[in-house]
Parts: sequence; C-alpha cells; structure tokens
Amino acid sequence: MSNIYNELQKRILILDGAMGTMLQDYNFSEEDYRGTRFKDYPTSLKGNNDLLSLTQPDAIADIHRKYFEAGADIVETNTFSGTSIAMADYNMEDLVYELNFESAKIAKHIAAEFTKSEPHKPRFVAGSIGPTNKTASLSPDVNRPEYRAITFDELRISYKLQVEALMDGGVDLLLVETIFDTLNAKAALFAIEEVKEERNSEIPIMVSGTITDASGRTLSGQTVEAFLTSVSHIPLLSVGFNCALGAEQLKPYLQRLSNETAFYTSAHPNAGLPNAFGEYDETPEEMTAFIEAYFNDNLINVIGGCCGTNPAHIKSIYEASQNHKPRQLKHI
Amino acid sequence: MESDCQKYLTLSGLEPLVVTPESNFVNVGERTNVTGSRKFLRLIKEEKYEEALSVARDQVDGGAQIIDVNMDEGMLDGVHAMTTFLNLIASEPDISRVPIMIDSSKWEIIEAGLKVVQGKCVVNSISLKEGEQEFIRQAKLIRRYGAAVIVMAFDETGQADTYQRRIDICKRSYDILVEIVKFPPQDIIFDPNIFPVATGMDEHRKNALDFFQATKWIRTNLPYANVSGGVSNVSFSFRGNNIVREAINSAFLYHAIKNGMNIGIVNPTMLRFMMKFQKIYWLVWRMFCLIEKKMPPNVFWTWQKP
Repeated sequence: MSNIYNELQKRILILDGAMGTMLQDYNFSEEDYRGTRFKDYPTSLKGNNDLLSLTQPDAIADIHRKYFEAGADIVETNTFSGTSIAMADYNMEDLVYELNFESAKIAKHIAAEFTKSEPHKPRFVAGSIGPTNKTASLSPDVNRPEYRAITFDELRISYKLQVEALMDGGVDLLLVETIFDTLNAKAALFAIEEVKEERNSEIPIMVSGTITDASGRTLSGQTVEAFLTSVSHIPLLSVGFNCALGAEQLKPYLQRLSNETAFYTSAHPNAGLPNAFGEYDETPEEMTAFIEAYFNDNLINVIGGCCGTNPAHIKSIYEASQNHKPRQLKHI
Repeated sequence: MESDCQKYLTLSGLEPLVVTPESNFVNVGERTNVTGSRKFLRLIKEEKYEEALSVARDQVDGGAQIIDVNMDEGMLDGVHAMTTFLNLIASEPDISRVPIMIDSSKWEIIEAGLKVVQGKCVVNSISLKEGEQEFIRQAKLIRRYGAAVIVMAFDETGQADTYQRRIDICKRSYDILVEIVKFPPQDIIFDPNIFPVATGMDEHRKNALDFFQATKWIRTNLPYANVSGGVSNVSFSFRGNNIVREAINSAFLYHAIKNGMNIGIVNPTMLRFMMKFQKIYWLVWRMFCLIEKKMPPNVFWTWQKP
C-alpha cells in the first residue's frame, strides 16, 4: 500500500460523498433490504443501510466505484452505524463483525481495481466509525441530569469490535466521524489505541467533529478549540469537521481549526443547509465555489461531501482541487 | 505524526485553557473537595447535589480556571460520588466551561472520573510510590483517556522532603513518562510538595526554600513541564489563625510564582488579597520573621517591600 502521508504532501486528497443519498436513488424495499438471508428476520430492516453490504453488495460496490470514477482518493466503508449500540435498533448486534468486515472487503476490492489501473493515484479505504445513537456526556432525561444512556466502557467495547472487524477487512485508515459528543469519540479513540497496541499497528486515524449550528459548538457544547484539545492526545492523521453545515457555514470553524492544529485537516460538509422538505439542494457548482475559498485560504488537506452530496459534487470538487496545493502543516 | 507545535499545556472544558509562558498563574478552585471542605463533604453525603453544584459554580464565578474535585472520604462511595458529581457538572455549561481536575489517591476513582469528562482534564495525582510498573500503567491509561497529569514527588521510599530528593524524583518520573510512556512533556505537572514552615522543628526550616529551588530546577531542566502545589499547606502550623495563614500563604505564593510555579490549588481570594494587601502582608511577614529568627533569612528577606 502506498503511504497516505506521501500522497497528502503531494496533493489535496478527495474523500467520497454521501452513501445514504446515493442509496435513496435505489429505492430499496423492505424485501430488498432483507435479501434472501434475512427473509424471515423478526425485525423491520428497511433503513438499515449498513445491512446492504450483505444483502445488496453490488449496489454498495457500485457507489464506491462511482466515487472513485469521480476522482475520490478515499472512500468510506458503509459502516456508519456498524456498532452493536446502533445495530441494537434492528436487533442485529451479533452481525456487527460481519457487517464491518464485509463492508471493508467490498470497498477494498474496488479501491484495488482503481489503484491497479491508475498507479499514480493510489486509492484508499477509510473505515467509517459513526457516533452511535447515544451520548455519553448528555442526559436524555431533563429530570435526571446525572443519568447517562450509555457509558464510556460500553462505547469502548462496542467500538473495539467495529475497529477490529474493519481492520481485519483491510481498511487503510479509520475515520471517527460526525462527532457530536466528544466523550463518544474519546471512547472510540481509546478502543482504537487498544487495538493498535495489541496488533502493533500504525493505522492512521482521521477524526471529524460536527459543529451543529451557528453557535459554533458541538452538540455537547464544546467550541472548536476545546474539541480540538480534547481529541489531540493521540497522534492523528487529520482532524476536521463534517455534516450539519454546508461548506459556506463551515468555513469560519475550519479556519480556526486549521490555525490551531498541527495535524492535517479534513472537511466533508453537507450540500448546503436542508430546505423546507429536509432535502439538500446545493448544486455541485455552488458547493465547489465555497470550497474554492478553502483552497484559496490553504485550509484543507482532505475534502469530500456529507449529506446530499453525490458523485457530481465530488467530481466538481476534485476538478477544482487540481489547481491548488494542499495546506502545509504548521510548525509553530 | 507527532504534533510538535503544541508545546504548551492545553486543557479543555467546553472552552480551551492554554497555559503559555505569558499566562498568569493558573488557579485551581479547591472548594469541591470533601477532604478540604466540611461543607462540601456534608452536601455530598446528604446528596444535596444542587447546593454542591453551587459550590463549584461560585468557584468558577470567582475566577477559578480549573476546578479540583475530590471525593476521597471513607464514608463515601468515591466512584459513585465522583461519577455523579462530574455528570452533573457536565450538564451545567457555566461550570463545565472550565477544565476539571480529578483529584483522588485511589486509581478506581480517578478512572471513574476520566470516563465521564469530555474535555481534556488533569489527573491529580500519580507517583512512583507503588513502583515503576504501576506508574507506567497508570500514565499510559491517562494518556489514552486524553488527560494531563500531576506527578507527586514521591517514590518507593517515601515523599521527597529535601531539594535533592525533589529534583531526583521529578527527573526520574519525567524520564519515564517522556521516554517510555511517550507522554507529552507539556502535559506533565509536577507537585514538588509544599510542606509547612515554622513548625519549630529544625529539619523543617528549609521546607519553603527547597520547594522554590526545586521548582526553579524543574522549570529550567525538564523541558515544557509545569509546576503546581497546594499552597495553604505551607501555613499549616498556624491553623486557627487565618490572618497569619493568609499572609504566609500569599508571601509563599509570591515566591513560588517567581520561581516558576504556574499552576496552584489556591483559594482564588488568596490571589486577590495578595495583590490588594501586599503591604500589610509584608509587615506581618517581617514581624513574623523577626520573631522566628531560626528561619533561613534568604527565604524571608528576599521578599521585597512592595
């Protein structure tokens, strides 16, 4: 495998766009989600996108292929909800290892095809590690502020299984993303460090937080700088932001992050803010115009898209990136 | 990839706290400590958490930049009390904006605290007391939880009580942390032991001076490391006489800061008094020195008249 550090010095790397947005176009029915294997599964499975790596692997492979064709250097595995905590919604905790392992395999297979035909542009697979659907530092019950629906240890154990499966499946990187509660992310990072030590591995880690709104804070209340401080205790490949905001709204926070960190920076914003119907309608050209400003101000090393983005957005961002140099690491 | 630009101690609650050479002394609030505050102990024992939170809030409002939380009391379930109180703090943004110092002599209480704080906190404290193996194990975990650490000048044979013992233990701890554990040196805070002066015992005569010199040595010889201490201990011999205690504490703090102590567990009002009443304290201090002729003159006479 080529070293991603070398590639990061040469150019701005392109991350893929949304998986969920692409899957919507397939209009999969309950039966499609189930496939033959889960035909008689007692729980409703429609909406369990991670499961499609087992029941509709060709669709997942096709989406990865489309993003690579659009110019992506890195695709994310279809494992955003691949923890036992998130899978509990579908009573599929026992499938976590297989889901992550197979998702990694699918993405790696497509990445290898592209690397083989374009050796000058090696492709990478990032194991996507989502936030789960529970928060470790916020109480879901306003009358019991000391209560927590999930503990650090439950998160750590759940994340560890996901990380092991992703690494067994061959991912090149791990991406802890959409962090709305930093304590969840710290549990994921703790689990990753455990696995790295046990396996004597140096797998690079990307971390991506979520600034929820114009307050400029995470859902759990941290400012950009406090978030950065809280996740910088282990060596990271990159730190950045994704989701919730569009490229335009994200820029001031990315600027602050870029000023403060010695790691590489990443961003995968949404295609603008959702409209009245909850849809994202920023066009590739509009989004790219905002991202050009990141390039001009030397803010970014890895750039991609989150909710509402598709291969057309990634292609447009990729083409724009060709005229720009990556952000240089800070040595203050 | 090693982050080499952040060589300053950086902590966080909901907001960051960066300790640069330009930062003034960082004061740590000490009231949310069951061993130091009878009132706080009573509130925790009776599970009056609302009131206990107001103790924390008052400290932050009063200027504490970090709050120390200690639940070490035989009658308390320390793990439960630490977890509950820190969870409650997390839901109060006006308190949780500052970093937390998790203070305990019991590892399980420290670890319980580390598991519920989203920001980068400080562990208070670890030492070589139980040997190198345990020290390394704890330091590694603290790093993995993403916290900074206070290291007491304490080893297998006991607490450092001379200048030489202080610097020897701190140097040994530093080397283990930086070379074996790969602990970021800026995340290390030494506590070289503040012991009481004016105890009447000859061997305690140099307690203050040794602390100042050890502090200076650490700040000069152990790159990026910080120095902290619990200041009020210095005036322990005068318990019950608060005017004298405040005078001694303030004068001590003045010298400690001059020698490089950049973090301290103090009553924030102490700092204000130090600025406000420097002259009065100086007079009290002088009188005290005249009476206590046994004290090493260089400690006392070097405090210049303001």
